[in-house]
Amino acid sequence: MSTATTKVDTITVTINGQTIQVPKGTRIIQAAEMLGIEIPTFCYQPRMRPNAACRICTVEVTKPMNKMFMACATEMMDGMEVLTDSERTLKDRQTNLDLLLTQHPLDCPVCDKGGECKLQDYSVKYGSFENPFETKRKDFPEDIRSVALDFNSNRCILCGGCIQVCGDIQQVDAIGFSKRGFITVVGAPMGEALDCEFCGQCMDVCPVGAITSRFAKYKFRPWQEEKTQTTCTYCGCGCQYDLRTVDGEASRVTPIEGVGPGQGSLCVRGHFGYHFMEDDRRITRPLVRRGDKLVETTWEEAVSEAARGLAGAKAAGAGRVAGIAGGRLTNEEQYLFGRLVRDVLGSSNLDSSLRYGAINGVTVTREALGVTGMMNSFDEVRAADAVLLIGCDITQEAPILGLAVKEAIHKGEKPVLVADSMKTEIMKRGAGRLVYTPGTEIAVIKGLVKAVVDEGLIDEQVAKKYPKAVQALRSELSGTYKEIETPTGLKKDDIVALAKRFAAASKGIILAGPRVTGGLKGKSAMTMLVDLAFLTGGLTTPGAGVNAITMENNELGLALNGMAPELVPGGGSWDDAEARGKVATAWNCSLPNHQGDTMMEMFDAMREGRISAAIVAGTDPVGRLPQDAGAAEALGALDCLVVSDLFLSETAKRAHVVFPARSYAEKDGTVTNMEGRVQTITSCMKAPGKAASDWKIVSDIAREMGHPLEYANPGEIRAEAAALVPQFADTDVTNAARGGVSTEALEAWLAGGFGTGMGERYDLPAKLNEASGHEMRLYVGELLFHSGSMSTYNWGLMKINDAASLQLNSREARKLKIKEGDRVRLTGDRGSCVVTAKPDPNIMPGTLFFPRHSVLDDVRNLVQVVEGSEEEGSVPQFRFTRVTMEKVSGVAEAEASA
Amino acid sequence: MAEEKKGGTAVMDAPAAKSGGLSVMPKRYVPWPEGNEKPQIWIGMGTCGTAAGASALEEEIQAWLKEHGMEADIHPVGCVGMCHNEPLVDVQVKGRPRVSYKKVSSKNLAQILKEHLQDGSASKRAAFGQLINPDEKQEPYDGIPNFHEEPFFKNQVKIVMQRCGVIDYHSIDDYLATGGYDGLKKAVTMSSDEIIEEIKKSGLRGRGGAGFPTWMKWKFARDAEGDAKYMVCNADEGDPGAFMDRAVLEGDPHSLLEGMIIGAFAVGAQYGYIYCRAEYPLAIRILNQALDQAREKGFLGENILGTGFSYDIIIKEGAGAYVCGEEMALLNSIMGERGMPMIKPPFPATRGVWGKPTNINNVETFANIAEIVVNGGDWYAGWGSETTKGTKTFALTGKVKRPGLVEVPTGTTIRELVEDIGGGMTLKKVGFKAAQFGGPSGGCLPGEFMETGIDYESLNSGGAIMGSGGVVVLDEYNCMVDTARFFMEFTVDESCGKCTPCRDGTALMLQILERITHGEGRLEDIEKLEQISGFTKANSLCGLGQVAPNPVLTTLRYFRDEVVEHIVDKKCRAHSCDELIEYVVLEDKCTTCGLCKPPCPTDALEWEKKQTAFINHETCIRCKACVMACPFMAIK
Amino acid sequence: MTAKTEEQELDLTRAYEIAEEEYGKQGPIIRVLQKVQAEYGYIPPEYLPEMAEILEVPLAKIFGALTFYSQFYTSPRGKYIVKVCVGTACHVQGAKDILDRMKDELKVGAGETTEDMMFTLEPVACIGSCGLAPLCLINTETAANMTPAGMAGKIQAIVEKESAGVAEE
Repeated sequence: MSTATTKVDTITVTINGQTIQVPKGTRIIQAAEMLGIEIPTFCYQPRMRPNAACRICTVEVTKPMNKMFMACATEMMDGMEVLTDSERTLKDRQTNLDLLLTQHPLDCPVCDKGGECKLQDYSVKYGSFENPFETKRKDFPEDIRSVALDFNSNRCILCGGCIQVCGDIQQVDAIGFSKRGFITVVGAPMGEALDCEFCGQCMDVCPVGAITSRFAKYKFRPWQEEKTQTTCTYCGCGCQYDLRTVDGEASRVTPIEGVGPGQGSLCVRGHFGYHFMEDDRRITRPLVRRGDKLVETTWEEAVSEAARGLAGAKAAGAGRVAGIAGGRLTNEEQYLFGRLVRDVLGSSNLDSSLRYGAINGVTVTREALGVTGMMNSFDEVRAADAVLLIGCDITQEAPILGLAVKEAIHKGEKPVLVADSMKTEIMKRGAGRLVYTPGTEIAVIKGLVKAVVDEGLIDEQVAKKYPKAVQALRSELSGTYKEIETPTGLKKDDIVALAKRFAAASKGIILAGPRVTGGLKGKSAMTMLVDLAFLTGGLTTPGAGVNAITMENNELGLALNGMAPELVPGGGSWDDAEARGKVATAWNCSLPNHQGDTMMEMFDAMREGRISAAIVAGTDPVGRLPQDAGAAEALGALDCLVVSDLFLSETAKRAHVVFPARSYAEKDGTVTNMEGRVQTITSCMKAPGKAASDWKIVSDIAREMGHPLEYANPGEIRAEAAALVPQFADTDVTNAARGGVSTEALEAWLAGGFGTGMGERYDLPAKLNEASGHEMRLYVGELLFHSGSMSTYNWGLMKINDAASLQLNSREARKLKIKEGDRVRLTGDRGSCVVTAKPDPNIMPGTLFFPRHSVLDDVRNLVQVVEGSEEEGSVPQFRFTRVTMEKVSGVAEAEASA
Repeated sequence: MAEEKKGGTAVMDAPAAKSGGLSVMPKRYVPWPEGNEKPQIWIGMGTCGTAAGASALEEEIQAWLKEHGMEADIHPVGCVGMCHNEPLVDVQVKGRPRVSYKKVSSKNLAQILKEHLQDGSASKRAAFGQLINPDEKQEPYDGIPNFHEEPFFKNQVKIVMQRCGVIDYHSIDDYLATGGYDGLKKAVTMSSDEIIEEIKKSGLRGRGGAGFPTWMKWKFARDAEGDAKYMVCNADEGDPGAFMDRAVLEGDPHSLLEGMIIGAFAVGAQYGYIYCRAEYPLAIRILNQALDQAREKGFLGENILGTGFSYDIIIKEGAGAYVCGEEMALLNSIMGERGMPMIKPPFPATRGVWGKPTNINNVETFANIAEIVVNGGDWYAGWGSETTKGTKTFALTGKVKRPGLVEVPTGTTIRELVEDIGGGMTLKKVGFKAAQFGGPSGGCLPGEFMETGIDYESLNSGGAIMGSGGVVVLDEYNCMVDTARFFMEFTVDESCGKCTPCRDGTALMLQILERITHGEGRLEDIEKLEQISGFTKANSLCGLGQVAPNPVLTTLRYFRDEVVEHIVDKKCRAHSCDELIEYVVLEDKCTTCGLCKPPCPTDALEWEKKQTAFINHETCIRCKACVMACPFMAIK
Repeated sequence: MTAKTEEQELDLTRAYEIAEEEYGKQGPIIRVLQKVQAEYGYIPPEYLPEMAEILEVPLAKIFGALTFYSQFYTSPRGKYIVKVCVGTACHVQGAKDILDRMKDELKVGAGETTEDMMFTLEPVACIGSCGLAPLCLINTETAANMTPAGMAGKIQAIVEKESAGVAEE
């Protein structure tokens, strides 16, 4: 061990006679790879620390000692000589395979892994072609009880990769070894059926066919498949994967190691949510309204009817047309949609799903830091010293960013600090936690900023460089903790402790979730977080920062394309005449001279007849917002509503013309993830019927209106858009890589009064957690298995989770004698409904949680919408409400009320 | 406390060493308690003593004393090593030597007590020997041999076990009175470098089996960076056939603690664990008590001996997994997880318990430390062989007359161990076949190794290992194939299942060995065993698998004939493999004594007075009871 | 006696307390299992999910540890635990014969418990008193230098004692 260590960073090693210089710490397998020498491995995963269990990578080291070493785990020494093909190596490798094959069932013909099985491949390459040992083979029954993954323990070679990925990367520990030695088995605990997040990563790393997908079982052989790299469109993470198809039909999704934001990890939606494209409920032909019915029609007729309707409204007066787009559209489609509304239809009434998404997060960071989207990259999160999550159930809302947070935990044993209104999974992994009353995020954040100011936790350089800003904050936060403790239910000491832990980190990253950006005074809350980052040095330290997560696939594209009345393409402000002028020049048009309506204002205008036509693409305001928002009435009052979508959404049901749109698997283009990374999606499946890309639909309508927007392909649109949105020119680059915070913007922001309305920013709303007749707080939020409604069209995902159950605190449930599956009635100011209950220890007493995607509109509709003021981004809040809960006794009553 | 120095010095008198010219051996005597007139009685109450019935003796002694209106102080002591003479009771009256009585039972107890306590003589018949403390004026008993001159002890050198079976295991005062904590007191005046240097000079190597130089381990841990460090004791003595550590844990717990505290001081550790197997409940009880005592006296806890150095120890109980004796598995187990070994590096010295630098030594290693510090490394290195210094304890069991726990300088030959100390084979006419060293990871060395001096290197070159020091003597009634099978069965049961060679290799070897013992072996099986053995040895993740094939390999190396015989002739010469046995009475050897008849459970053995016995193969269940019963080896 | 309690739901209050006491401490799994076993004689499987919740550790880790170690039991055990040492020293002195005899005598396999919940037969690897091999344990009482017949006698004695006890009741 006492090596004569030379102080050089490179060492010289020899493998199979080939000498190479490698960095110190290089393992044999890595050096071999550099030389193009293959070493077989079962359990080795480059993403994880070597497990060294399968021993197939054994190689003979001849210098400095003669011994067999595991290539996956052995760091090389200077002058080391290795033989990967010596007689001894080959013999040991062969014995290893012989041992495995004596037990492994030879059922390759019916094994889904056949054709891409490492054991199969290595046996051909290194095996003995005879079975020298005979033994009793294992005889476990195949475990097909779980909804998505089948376990065949007979095929398992116990390499442990699945358990490692589940424990170290996914950090769920849903599976583990049980028993030991020869009879060790991998599976869910207690011998029960696997019930987990179903990320499927265990299956991905399984070198043999021990874990296979139920959804793909017997459906393909690997050599029949076509592989297409594309971007997952379920959330803002934008993971890269291969969508595999057999004869144009999706066979499965496989991750790509080391590529994209996820670096090879996928979540349940990405992995198993590939069925909606082929769902029977897809709209395949254009529909037009005839009386109270939507009937199929020709493409030409639909285009002409849509154009006629829109043109009619346009002719009736400026601003009588509105456009609403969603994150399902590619960057190119959004761009063109925006141009249609602002240029062709000449209306400034353009809004998007960003409004009920993270617009407050996007706006605040853009204004204060000059960054549209996250200022940090996933990689920076992975390397952070501390991650502070607020109102952000990251494993549900952005699962793969969640993995980056978990990696920060795993790598450095560094604290993750979580403030949330329930015990989230990540909270249990973290080092600091605050569990507060739902809906009081703004008070919690104020408390944290106050603690930083009061406890002298302000970064020294910041204090020195920006004394005025610091002083402004200090005087603003001179009050007591009482106003924070009372509504949040937190103790001052706990808030201070968390603030101290965060301030102590040199690379601290803040991640704000939808309950901050979409909560009460969301814009102020987000700005306070910027203050928090500013005070603790987060805006001036590389690798630190403050971020709002976005949850819809191309939500950031909406911001970049200016798909909100206060924005213009390029992400600039409508207020900014220069930015507006640039757009007008590019489009060779004159833009409307006033800022348009936001979505909630549009609804008012529609109801009042000031807006009479609208085009909605890739989002479903009626289905998305609670009844209280009045979207149904508003859109229903229009003379002409044109909708494009994959399915007949609640909005589409009210349309006059419906266009069948294409899914991400049937079109080309780019989407922008929350890091600001522009990534491509690639068509690889045949679109059903007449379904067309939204840019085609827009183009056709424009042509029909006599204002042609003609392009041969999305690439041409992107080229045009890039003139206004420079991000579109460079794909796969994160905001962080583009330089992160713009010093210019930051200085300007600080100089300009440090955000406006400091006093108002820190005033807590009176409505916060005020008492009402209903004692339970209901929170409607996201579930990992579903995002919006698209996922509910996946029979696969629905099989994994279709539970629209109301989660309540398990102890409280025990007290109320409510068991899983019992029916409970919720009564609020907006009515009442009956749902199935599911006790959950992670829900706080007095709190209820209901998944947002649910088809059970009844619960969603209990929520009263609070319209955010213009200062607070005009964001409708519809996540919290108060209800009374009672157990419904007897089946009859339950059925009657259902 | 002030008196502790008085009687506590090691008495250096008897010549015993193997080499190095240092002919001194420490012996420990418990000084007579000042001002006490009552007789002192010690009962061997270690696990083995209790197993032999010692707990009943205590009550009987109390009853006897009460009946005779006498009072005495009764002390429990640990294992002195004489398993063959259990239960042991020592009795001492003021001014006379302590007399050790062997095989004490309710039958002879009253007689012993009467002779010793009432008659003022000692019971010559029951006495094993007397311990004459040269520090005190003691009038020896006539006709009772000197304890240390008895053949079982004469050739032993006790450093680790010097107090085992001598001092009251509940009493820290006994420990202090016999030089206890002198090592620590000296150590805290030394620098870390000085301590490690002494250990280096002593040549002490890990007694857990691998024999890694202790000083080097300490140095790595000392030099590792970390805000906290751990000094951990591996007391997971899992080798079947080994119980040296138990003897120390039960008989002299403070010597372990003292070693650990010195070690912690040397490497700068603040926290410690003793990972003890749960099969040793008595040891855990005694250790816990010892920890409390040490804390109370300021040897453990905050600010030890006023030096500002703090260190404390927690006992972790095992839960039944042999592999936890492997250090990485042990770490995982301490952390409450499955005891699975992990790839090294990182070594525990840089990343151990809770990710902190950790040093792990075994019980016996620690038990040597205080003596080395007190007497110096050179003193310790004066014993032992060229490569392996000092002494080693062995659990000598199997077919020897005097099984027990022995401590000898390394380099002692197998013959000395088996014959001089062990008293030779149990059955006169059934010869020595092999000595199995190192438990399930060791190997069987045949008669040709009789003159080999035992140390790490010699055992390794013979294909066995030192292991933790279990020595099982096998005679001709032991089948070597079955012995290999037995060990393989153990390994298969205890393999953690992580790596392929150990998990599947051992399982397959077991299947092959079972096949052979069942008479279904094939000649190519030998080659297969060799192939898998070689693979498993070279490619297993941890020590368990790397040494698991040793029993098979040594059997193939030294007893190949016997294996071939099983395969080709379908014959087990040891009459051990059930399927291969057909017992017959050898007419020329049968003395018609009839001793073989009563044990037969199925009446398959037919015998009439003065007639050669006959075995009915229809009803014989091959239980071997008759074979064991026959004193003349007339049944085969 | 045990048959009666089987019907009732086991009171796990103490077990929950044990987990709560260990919450937040480092590496609690084995410690909690040991304590619960000391309290209940075995580890009731239905306790495990709740244990996982209270300790906030994954159930798979608990179950993995539970099944890894041979001294955790998930079902109630006999009133008398008959341990037969099958360590090396005992093996070479004929422990297998004792174990076989015990299997016959109690009509159970290794690790099993008799139907009347009276005896659990358990082979163990080395109790650490090899000098007195072969060795058996009945609960905490050790029997040294045992023979198959000797152990059978001891079992018989217990059976007689127990049936006498039942008769008295």
